Parts: sequence; structure tokens; C-alpha cells
Amino acid sequence: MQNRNGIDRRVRLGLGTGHVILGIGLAVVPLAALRARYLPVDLTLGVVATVLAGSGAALLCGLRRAPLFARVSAAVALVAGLAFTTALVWTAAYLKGIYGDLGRGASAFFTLLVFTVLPYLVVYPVLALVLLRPAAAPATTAGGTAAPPAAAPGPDVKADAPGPAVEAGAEPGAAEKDGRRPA
Amino acid sequence: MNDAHPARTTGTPGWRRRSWLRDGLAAWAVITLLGSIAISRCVRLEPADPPQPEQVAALLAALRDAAEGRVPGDLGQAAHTPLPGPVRVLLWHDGLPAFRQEFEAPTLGELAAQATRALGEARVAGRFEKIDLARARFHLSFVVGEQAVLEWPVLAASASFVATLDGVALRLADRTPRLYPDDLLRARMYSAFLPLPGGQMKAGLDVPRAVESLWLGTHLPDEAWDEQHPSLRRFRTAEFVERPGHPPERLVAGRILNPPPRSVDDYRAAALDGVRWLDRMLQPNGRFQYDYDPLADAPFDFGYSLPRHAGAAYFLAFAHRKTGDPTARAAAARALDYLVERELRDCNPAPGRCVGQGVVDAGSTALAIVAMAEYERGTGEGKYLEPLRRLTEFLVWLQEPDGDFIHLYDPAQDRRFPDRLLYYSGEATLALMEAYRVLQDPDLLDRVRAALDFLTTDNWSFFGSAYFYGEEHWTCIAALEAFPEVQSDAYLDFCEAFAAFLREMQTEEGEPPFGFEGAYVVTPFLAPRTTPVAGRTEAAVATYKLGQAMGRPNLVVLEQVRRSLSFLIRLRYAADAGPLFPRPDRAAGGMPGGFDDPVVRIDYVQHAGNALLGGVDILADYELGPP
Repeated sequence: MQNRNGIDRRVRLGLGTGHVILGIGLAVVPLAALRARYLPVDLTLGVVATVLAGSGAALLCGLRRAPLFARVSAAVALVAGLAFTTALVWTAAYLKGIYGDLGRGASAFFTLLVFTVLPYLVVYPVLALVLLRPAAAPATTAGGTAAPPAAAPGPDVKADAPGPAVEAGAEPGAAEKDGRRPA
Repeated sequence: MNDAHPARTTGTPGWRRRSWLRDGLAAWAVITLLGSIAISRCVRLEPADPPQPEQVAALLAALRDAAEGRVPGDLGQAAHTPLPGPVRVLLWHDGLPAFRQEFEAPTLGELAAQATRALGEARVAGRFEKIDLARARFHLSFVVGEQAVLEWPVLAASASFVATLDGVALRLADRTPRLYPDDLLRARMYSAFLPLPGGQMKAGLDVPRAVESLWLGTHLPDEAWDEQHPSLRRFRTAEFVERPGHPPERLVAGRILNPPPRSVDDYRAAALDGVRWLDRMLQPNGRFQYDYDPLADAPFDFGYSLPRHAGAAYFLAFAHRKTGDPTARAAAARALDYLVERELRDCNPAPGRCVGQGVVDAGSTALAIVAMAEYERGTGEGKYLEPLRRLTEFLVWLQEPDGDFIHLYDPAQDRRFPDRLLYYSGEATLALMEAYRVLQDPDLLDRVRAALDFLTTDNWSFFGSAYFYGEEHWTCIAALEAFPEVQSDAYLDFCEAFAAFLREMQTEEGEPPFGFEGAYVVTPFLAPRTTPVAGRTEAAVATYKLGQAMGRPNLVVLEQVRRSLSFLIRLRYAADAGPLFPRPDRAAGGMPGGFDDPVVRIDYVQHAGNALLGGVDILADYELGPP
């Protein structure tokens, strides 16, 4: 029996804080660092920053749909991060084709840039997607019979409500599950 | 339910269930990797082989025959040589093209037929009547490779052309107008698009201007743009220029490059050619003409820099001390007289005298001291001892308790500015040491020690300092000059580390895209420049000499010096530097700014000359084998 939207409270607070910080960082750092304004870049960053910060705030506030919103924002950030990384790698490949060599300085620049982007826009969103994944659908038992449907707590169940652990692999008796407020 | 296998009752583990994420990431990695390989291969330009020099020589002879009204000679077997692309034929006269036409011919013989016919028609039309054909030079540009480039965004397009090597073509429905590398060089379109941090330099081809020039050249109305389906392309050329009495010469970046040095005599001769060039730049009042643009046979920048004036005087005095050259001595004296008579002033309320008007800088004063001291060390005249002493008083007053120096001072308001500028602290340290060599004031040694301690340790003791350096050539020269009175392993360690840092950027022979050893380049997007090479080679020479004096000679640094001096020798202007220059004799002995900068400035010659004379001291002939 699982709460399919339930997440650990520590995960919720951690990812909520992470989303907010990353969202603000994405909005502020490129604005400050890049003096030139370029709509495709600014717009993409703005959208990713907004959804990340918004979903992070929702997670922190414990809104009912927050995990879903956070998953979507992590997916958006991941797509943007992968696209940006691909763009960087392809740019380096293009320049290497043109010049025959990138040179040590440019190679170091691209490497540093890729490895600066990866943790924030690839590794973190992947981690968030894994941690925020919905619980598995009830599996078929060994005898081939479907487990009975979830009978109890709804998405906004109180953390201290009696019932089975909502997260597969959760530690028995570990910290309470998501203490979201009733809608 | 099987209690022995509870996992089976809750389904497969989560990380296995999320296969769409794993598979998606794997697909992304594969697409990115394969895409990068495909892109790199698609844009790589593989130039075809141009005709052999002897075949080119036969063609040039035929063209000259046609221009001078004779029957063109037969090319023989060379006539059947296939051509990889279009060929542009130019006839330069006093730096201007007297004849220019592009030909599409399948073979060298067909090219000769078309070009000699066109030249004959031009001759009949009287186009060569007002030029001295004996002085005019034919120039052939064989297009040996062409490739489409990204047209959007413009930044990508601007980065898609290798400065001085790639030309720009605009392929249209019915023609392909081209701007050849020398066209772009003369129009200063290379390194002209993206301003770099610092504001002094730009990178990338000015693509908008190039496209506008190409389109205007077609004489088509703007409305025809879309129907012409224009596409931007880069192309590579093999360039040959006629040299009467000699085989044709290859042109690189619009000029004839010199062969690598064969002996240290080549270094000395090049340095002394620099002395002659600076001597020619000296005006009657002792001030230099600041720079010279050989493309225009005129000054390029009408500004002036007193530190660079003093630096040039330093090189002249140094050249005299090292070689005894009388021209260097006389020119140094004239340049120093100018400083003493026109630029020295009391800096009240500061003690002593300083150089310049308004807000004065430490660099001008420091390099004036260095130049005067070098002059006195080489001549013993005593002519500049008094101004040197007064300038030193001022410089000593600029030194701060931590050993560093104030760089800018306003005597009118008695204001010492906190700003720090590149070079000045190292220059001031060297100045105090040079002053000591002449004045023998022992107090100066303590000040030199404090300055060197600051520059080599305190100044570079911060988080991240291991990853970069400033321009520390003056510091290392000062450390060498200070030995043995002021010495420390830390000074040599610092200079060795600086040299090692620079070696990471030094090019090897054949390294793309320019192919010359010894340049210091962070990235090939920027064409190599000579002054960073020269200044850093001064530092490397000083480092090697200091190591030798301290019993730790570093042969790797010696090789580093050899490579860079080879680069400088190849790029300096010889007597016949190229057909694009109206007066190549005026450029002779000068050092251009770099591949994309043909202008010669007084400090380019100064640094190169000092580096070359330093190389004479530490390299022997057998070490200069051609690469």
C-alpha cells in the first residue's frame, strides 16, 4: 500500500531548497555574468529558473501537487542542461573542425564550462527525478495475483497517519513521511 | 506470496523501473558524441595540393611575357597540371593592384592561356603604361579548398574563419565573389568583430562587413538577394609571389616569411636590424614615430606612450652595451635627450623628478631609469647620472612598505592612486636594480629585495594563484639583474613556474592552424602575436641565465627560448617582405604585431630585439637546427 505522491520529508525539504537556490542562481548568475542580452538564452533561462524556483517553493510549502510540479521542473531543467551540454560539445567540435585544434585554452574553457553545467543542470535534475519518482504500481505477487488496490491514505495523508511506509526502501521507523498540509 | 523473496512482491527496483530516464540519457550521449564527430568531419577543410613551385615559376614567366608584350613561353608538361579551384592573378605595383582577375581553368595550361590573353588585352588598353613593370610583381592565389560555414548566429560565422589563412566566398546562383586573405587583411576585417575583455583587442572575422563588400561587388540590386540563394563559405589558398631572379616565394598572411635562423648570428643581425628601424623612426626632436603601417606607408596610431618611448631607448642602449653598435648608442642618446629635455619635471610635493605631464605613472619613470642606467653601463659617459638620480628619488618615494609601488600619482593634488597597472611593479623593481648598478647606493638593494619578495611571493599567494600568471617578464629580468647581490631560490622558482606556465601555451612546429613553432597562443581563434612571444622570451632568457648562475640551468627553458626566437625571426620584416607594401624598405627590420597585424610599433621592436640579444648569450649555433 503506497501513497503514490508521498515523499520523504527530508527529500522534500532538500529538493525544495535545491530547486529554489538553483532557480534563483539560474536567474541571477547569467544575468550578472553575461552582459549581452540574447532572447533565446535569456528566455530559456528565465523559464527554467521560474519553474525551478516555483516548484521548489511549492515543495517547501508542502502543496499537494508540488512533487509533480517539481518533477516537471526537474525534467525541464534536465532537457535544458542536456541541450546546453550538447550545444557546447558540438560547438567545440565545430571549432576544432575549423581550426584543426582547439588549443589548450579553449579546450580548458569548454571542459570547465561543461563540468560547471553538468552538476546543476544534469546531475541534480536526474537526482531529483529519481528521488521524486512516483511509487511503483502494486506489483504482481509471486502467485500472479494483483495486490489489492491502495486503500488508505490519499495524497495528502498526514505523515504520522498509521499505514505502511510510502516509499519503497524507506527505513523502518525512519523520519516521518511527507507532512503535507491538507488541501 | 513468497515471504522468502519479498522484493518480488513490490516489483522491480526503482532504478530499473526508470528505464526511460536511463535510456534517454544513453541516447543523448550517443547522439551528442556521434553528432560532434560528424560536425568536426563535415567542417574540416582538406586543402588540395597546389602546383609545384617550378610549375608556378613557368606560369609566372608566361604572365610576365604577356604583360611586357612578348610571346608567352610554353609551359611544357606543366600545362597539363590540374588545378584544384579558381586562381586569382594579381599584379602589384607600389602596394596597389594594377591588374586583378580570377580565372576558372581546369589546368595550368588553360589558366596560362586565359590569363595571358587578359593581360594582353589590358596591355593593349594601356593599363600598364603608367606603371614600372620591372618593379611590379605578379601574385597568384590558388584556391585549394572550400567549405560551407555556419551563417547563424553571426558570432558562429565570425569564428568560422581562420585569421589570415581563410578567405570569404559568397556563393550565389550564378557566381561566387571572393575576398582573399590579403583583401581581408588590407581591409582590417580579421580580428575585428567580437570585442575581447580589456577592450584593446577583438576576435573573429567581421562577417557583416565582408558580406556587404561581397554583395556590393556583384552590382546586383538588393531585391535579388533571395533569388540568388547566397551561402557563406570559407576557402583556403596557396599564394605565390614573383621575385625577379629568384624562384617564386610563398606568401603567408600577405607577406614573405623568413626561413628559420641557422645561427645566433641571425639573432644578432635581426636585433641590429631592429636598431636601424628604430633609428629611422627617430624624429629630429628625439621622439619616435610611434608606429608604421606598411600597408599604408604611414603611421597607424597617432597616440604616444612614454613608457614605450623609454623602453625603446632601453633596447637601443642595451643593444649598444651588448654589441657596441654606434647607431644604437647615438639613437639611444637622442631618445634619452628627448626625455630629459622635454618630459622630465619636478614632481613637487614628491621628491625628485618624474616623467610626463598630469597624472604621472611609475612605468615611464622606471623605464627612463632603466634606459639611462643601461646607457651609462655601456658608455660610462656620466651624461645621465644626475637625471637618473633624481628619477630614482621619486621612484623610491613611490615604493610602499610591502615592497610594491604606487603606479599612478597626481602631483597637482598630491594624490597617490590605489590602481595597479600591468608591468609597472616589475619595471620599477628592475629600475631600482639598474640604478644600483650605476649609483652603487646600498639602500637600493634592500628596496629591490622587498620588491622582489613581494612580486614573487606575497603578490601570488592567494587561492587560485596556481592557475594563472600576469605578464612577469620585468620581474624575471629584475631577478636576474639583482643576482648575486639580491638572491633567493624563491625568485628562480617563481620564474621557472612562470616559464612552465607559458610552455603550456607554446606552439610546436606544424601545430594547426598556423604551423609555426614558438608562438604563445591560448586558442587558435586569435592569430599569434609577436610581442607576447618576445616579452615572455625575455623572461625565459632571464630565467635560464638566473638558473645557470645559481647552478640550476634548465635545458627545457633553453628549448623554449629557441622555439620562440625562431618564431620572431620568421615573422620580422626583411628587406623584401611582400608585394602588398608600397615601401617594403621602410618596414625592413621592423617587427609586425602578428599575423593579423602588419603594423610595426616601437615596443614590438624593443621586446623582440631584447629577446634576440638575450638568445645570443645563451644559445649556440648547434642548438638552432631547423625544425
